[in-house]
Amino acid sequence: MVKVLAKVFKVLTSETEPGQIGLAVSFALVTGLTPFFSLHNLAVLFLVLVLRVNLLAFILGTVLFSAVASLLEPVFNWMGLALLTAQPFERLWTRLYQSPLWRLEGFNNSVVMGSLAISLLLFLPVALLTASLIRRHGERLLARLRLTRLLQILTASRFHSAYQAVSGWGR
Amino acid sequence: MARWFRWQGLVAFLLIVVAGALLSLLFSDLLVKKSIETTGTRLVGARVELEGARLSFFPPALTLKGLQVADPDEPLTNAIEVARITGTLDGASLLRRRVIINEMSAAGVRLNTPRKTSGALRETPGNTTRRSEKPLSSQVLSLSLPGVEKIVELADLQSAKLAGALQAESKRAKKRWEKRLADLPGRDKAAEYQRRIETLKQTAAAGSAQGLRKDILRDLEKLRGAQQECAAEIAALRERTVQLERAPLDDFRRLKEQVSTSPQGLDSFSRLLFGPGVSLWVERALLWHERLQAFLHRVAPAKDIVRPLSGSGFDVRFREKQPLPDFLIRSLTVATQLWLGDVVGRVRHLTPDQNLLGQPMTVAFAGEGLPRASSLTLEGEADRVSGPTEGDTMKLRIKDFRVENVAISDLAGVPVSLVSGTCTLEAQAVFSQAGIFLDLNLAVDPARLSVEPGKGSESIREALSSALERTVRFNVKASARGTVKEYRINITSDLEDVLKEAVAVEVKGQFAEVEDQVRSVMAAKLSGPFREVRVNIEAVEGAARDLETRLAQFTELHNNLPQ
Repeated sequence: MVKVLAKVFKVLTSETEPGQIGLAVSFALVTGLTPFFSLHNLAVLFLVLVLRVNLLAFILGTVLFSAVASLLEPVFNWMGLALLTAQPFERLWTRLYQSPLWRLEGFNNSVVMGSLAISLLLFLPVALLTASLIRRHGERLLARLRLTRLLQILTASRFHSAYQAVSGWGR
Repeated sequence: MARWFRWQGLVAFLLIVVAGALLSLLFSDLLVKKSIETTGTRLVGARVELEGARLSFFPPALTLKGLQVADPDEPLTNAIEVARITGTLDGASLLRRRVIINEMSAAGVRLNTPRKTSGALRETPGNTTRRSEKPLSSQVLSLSLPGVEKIVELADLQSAKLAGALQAESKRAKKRWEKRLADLPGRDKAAEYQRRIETLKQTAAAGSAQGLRKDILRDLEKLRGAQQECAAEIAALRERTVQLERAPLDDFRRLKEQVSTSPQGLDSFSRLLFGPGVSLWVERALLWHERLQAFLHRVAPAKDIVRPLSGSGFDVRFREKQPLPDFLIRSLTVATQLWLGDVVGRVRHLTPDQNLLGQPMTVAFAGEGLPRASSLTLEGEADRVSGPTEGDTMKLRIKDFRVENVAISDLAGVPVSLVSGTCTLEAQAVFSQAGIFLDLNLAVDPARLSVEPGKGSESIREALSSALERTVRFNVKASARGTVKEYRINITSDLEDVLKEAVAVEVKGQFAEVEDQVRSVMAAKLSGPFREVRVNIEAVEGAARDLETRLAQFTELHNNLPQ
């Protein structure tokens, strides 16, 4: 059991390049800020699993951004309404409205549209910023993490030994 | 490629999607159940519970079992309970996030059933405060006369008004004549004329005598005019005094009559007898009308922007070839189990997006030869095609329904009940931009009324009992007009005269016992103003006497003038 968990953990924590973590955080931005059970999040999940991005960063990021999303709902609503009622986009939205796939996506909802627009707008800056932060401060951050009590307990456990044993998996 | 792609991820994705689909299928019933309970609870403001839900996909159909909608006002009662609801869904519309049910049926619909647990929510939405012009249920008719002082105080005494007016008028007259007397030629002027006459006699100047005569004659004229005015004013004041003396007698006669017919100025027995029931009926009708609004029209901050049925934010609608509502039940057949008997009805076009459908919601229920009534018809229409306040109408007619032992009201601490009766009820409700128009007409024929022992006195019980037990039929008409937030209820009944007669006999007897006391209280109340009026008139009469003296004095001066 511990070995299976260690393997799962290994998969989650592989792909530790700054760019891979940055991309994972950006994908988490989309799934976390937008309503979780949306069609576009299925596409995001596909990309997250198929592309070599850090899965743990994606999961933790989704949890974090979901918490932030509820606070930002009025902003999403405002942004979504502004986009959906903007005259230049009217033809585009009307065309999408005729498609069952886009209706299923719920793009005409102000919160869906607003949150999706904001998360897509922030996608690249967040990816680059995260990667840059990890490049500059990653080592220092890791060193500090290693000193925390939780990580010390984990490294002393059987789980850590099992994790070390499967560390070559997936490469 | 391998640097960027994780091909195992594709397998993982497919596994997750398949697992998700399987889980959705497995828990679809639970998801539908939860979704209906959550949305229903939010809309009604009390618990909406389902025993079970079943969603089938081929063909798409929905079955709900054991639906209970708690009454927000009475949490231990279900406003509606439905044993089974079945309907077929339009699969193609589901892909467009639309729930279109072409045919649905609800069986075993019952109203006002008891609940085992409370259906109240922790946070109930605040109800809109409504107000009828008088809280009918709090009005209590007391057939006992109030104290003597109170009777006189409540009475609109004409004598008191007359006395007050005459008191003020006589006071003004008194002051006016005091001032006039000061201004008119008096003793000083007479003395002056006397001196001038003396001088004239010594000098014997004819021209001066002529001038003096003119002066005296002018003053005499002033005094005569004032005397006439004063006499006329005294006559008017005396005449009004005579009227004032007669007024208490008229007042007493009126008071006696007033007290006998309406002990506390309450003029509607029908209102007291049926008011609490009618008030409750109107209040509940308005409350449910308000709650149904959420099912008939959606919050729309602007054209083509609506609040979604579930979820947050707003949905923006765009032009479509064939626009359809997000939720629609085209036809709902309802089999209800009322206490009158089983009644079947049909609701058409139930949707919060009538503007898209282009048709109003209609309701039609009918039942013939019911166990407790000969027929029942209910027809209604809620029109939101052109906007949220287009207008709703409802007509209900229940013919020959039999009732037994129905408590009507508590009249003067004496409970009145309908022991048995056959009723025909016609009710009509119109909600429009102009306001609310609710009308109710109840005919009970035959009727057997009785009064039960209560807190009221035995004599009142007997008076009401003899009046009501003679009644073999009666009609009640009630109406409510105004706005949803503020309306006025009007109730009339042919029981009114019967009750008034009974009350008149009872109250006349009570009044006879205090008649002398009422007279003396009235006299005491008027004695002060009477006294002041007399004093003031005497003062004006004094002025008249003074004028007479002055006239005599000036006439004598005129006569003494040398020729």
